[in-house]
Amino acid sequence: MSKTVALKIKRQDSADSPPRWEEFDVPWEEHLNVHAALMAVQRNPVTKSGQKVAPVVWDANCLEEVCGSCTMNINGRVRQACSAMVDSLEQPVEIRPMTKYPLIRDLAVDRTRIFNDFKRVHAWIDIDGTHALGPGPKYSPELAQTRYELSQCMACGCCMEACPNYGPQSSFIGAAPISQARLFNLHPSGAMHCDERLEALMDDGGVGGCGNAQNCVQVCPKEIPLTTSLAEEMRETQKHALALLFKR
Amino acid sequence: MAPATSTKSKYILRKLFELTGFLPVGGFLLEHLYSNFQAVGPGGAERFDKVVTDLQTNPLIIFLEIGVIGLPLLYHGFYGMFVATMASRPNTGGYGYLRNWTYLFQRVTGAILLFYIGYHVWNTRLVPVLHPDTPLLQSNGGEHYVSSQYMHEYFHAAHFGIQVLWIYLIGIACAVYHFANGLWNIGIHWGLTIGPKAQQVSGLVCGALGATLLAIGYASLFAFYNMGS
Repeated sequence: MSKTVALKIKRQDSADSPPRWEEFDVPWEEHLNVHAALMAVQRNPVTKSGQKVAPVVWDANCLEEVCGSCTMNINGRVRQACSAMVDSLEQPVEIRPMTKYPLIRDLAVDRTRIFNDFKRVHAWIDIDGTHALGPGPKYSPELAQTRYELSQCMACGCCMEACPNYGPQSSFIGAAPISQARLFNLHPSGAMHCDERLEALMDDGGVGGCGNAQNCVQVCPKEIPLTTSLAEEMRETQKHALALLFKR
Repeated sequence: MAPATSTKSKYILRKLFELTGFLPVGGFLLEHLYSNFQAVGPGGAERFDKVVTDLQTNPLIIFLEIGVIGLPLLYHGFYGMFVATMASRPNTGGYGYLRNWTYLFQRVTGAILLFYIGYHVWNTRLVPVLHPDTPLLQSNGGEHYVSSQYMHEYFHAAHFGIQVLWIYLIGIACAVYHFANGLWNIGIHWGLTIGPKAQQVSGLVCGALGATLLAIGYASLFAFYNMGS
């Protein structure tokens, strides 16, 4: 018998239906990742005990850890299925959906909340106008380097999934949107909307929601200095608040 | 875009929570540990009784106790309960990092302190006022205060089936931890320690402070416990 990989997947047909665990053995391949293992289940959706079941549902897109859509809990740790190499994992590989977002089916969750929180902190630069605005301002290579690190965020949700202060019970927007506010406030054009972003961060669920458990920076697949972003924005919001208080 | 008033007031409530933990409550904890430490060493019993009388006959004491200790403490406690409601189930099992544990302990000690401080204030501050006939209290001009002898007997008593000494061993450890780790948190929330290195150093400093305060607190506790023996 050829080598196989044991998977243990938490499944749920819909948000309201009861969850269940199903085990699968899929053929081992060199450089197999969890995404490819799930594809093998899709090709042959038969459990270890020989029962034919509906194929497992999950989200995936880029397959190179830049889109974040295949984020799930693998062996108790949130990460992307595409970059989770099976040979580096203990078996059976235990796969669960993210727990902080509404479940759609099996491993697919609805992460609309992340998008809404990005919108809330104005995580973009306004460049459109009715007339040409000319070339953007120049900035230093050092600032470009700092911003590059932050710009790698793919809104996957790992930092929020691992955050004990984030979830349906909490208004906290999580590390990623706060780091994005920093990214766009650091840009000379983006800084034109600096106050708007800082005031969003001062609101309910903003920087005050951070409890400094610092799991975010440990789990970030892009190794973004999230705790530095959080502390920087705490400092900036406080400066802004003091300015509001003493300059009026 | 002008911020909504509620945005500003919510932010101020949060900052007030951090500030009350640091200055009135934290500051009082330091004063309290210092005053109690007077019970340590030869002549400690008399020195402690005098410190209590001096503090309690201070003409400002009632304003300090209510305005600088009581109200800020209540505010910090109530807001802290709101902060605790933001927490999901502990995830230290999957993410057993040091800071995830210190985060969890900050909430656990906060919850314990709500009960411990209530219990402590009742027995050492309110009992002498509401039950002045309780034995071993010292009195001055018709007012009654705790004495070192009262504390000695108290720590040997048992409440809720536990020796009071143990309640205080736990309570003091929680208070000192909550303060020291709170300081570390404030360093970040006030934008003082931003990078990981700075936060590591402040973690060591706060840890050393916490250990020192714990030693001071326990030394005072055992000074009362072993008094006269």
